Amino acid sequence: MSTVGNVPRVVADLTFAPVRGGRATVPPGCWEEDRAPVVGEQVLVADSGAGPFEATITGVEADGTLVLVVHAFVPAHA
Amino acid sequence: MSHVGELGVAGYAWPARHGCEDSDVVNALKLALANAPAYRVIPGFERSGALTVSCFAVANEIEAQIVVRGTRWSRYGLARVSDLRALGCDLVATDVFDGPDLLPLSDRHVDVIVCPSPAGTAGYATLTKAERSSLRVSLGDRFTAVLRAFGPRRTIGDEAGQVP
Repeated sequence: MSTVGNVPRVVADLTFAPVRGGRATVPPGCWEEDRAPVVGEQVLVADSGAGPFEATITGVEADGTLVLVVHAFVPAHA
Repeated sequence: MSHVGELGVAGYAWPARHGCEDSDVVNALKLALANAPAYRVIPGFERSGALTVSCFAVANEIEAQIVVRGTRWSRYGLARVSDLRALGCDLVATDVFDGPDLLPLSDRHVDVIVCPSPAGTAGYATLTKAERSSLRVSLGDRFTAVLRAFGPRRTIGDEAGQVP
């Protein structure tokens, strides 16, 4: 199973997520659910050294790339 | 690549003191396989793409810590270029873009080519889940051997992780 509870797990390179305002992308082939991803859906994202972090799918590109916002890396604004 | 430095900083991190965690290797391998088609621009890998480990070139430990502090990482590993080449890896300098924007540290970014992607021209994304899993198992030993070249992992601010 690729999920804990009902939350799908995905992998992404999070190296520069902090300087991208929390934005990260999941390349095609890394969505392992038996259904299509949905914009607005909550996921848990990890890379090869950290996570999982809570994230929200903000876009699904034509080639299957998922665009996420990783909440832990979104800068706080006054 | 020897002109850019003798050491490479691993583009991933796993716990320095506890060896290789299986989940970290699996995640690194998933990303490497998924990103393999992007490396079809490299001569010799036009059809297959390449399985790579992302690194930053540094000359010494101080540079390594500066680079690591420029990312979100706190753990990192170092490998000598000569050791990676001894494992049969090629090293290629690559820029990292976010859309049109060149990301920080791109001038130091290096990809270690582990092997051509066995997923071939169809690509990892077109495989079934069972096929992807089988492919990862078949590549596990080779991929892990390259990752281990960057060990043991060091931790920023941890004196025990400093080079003597």
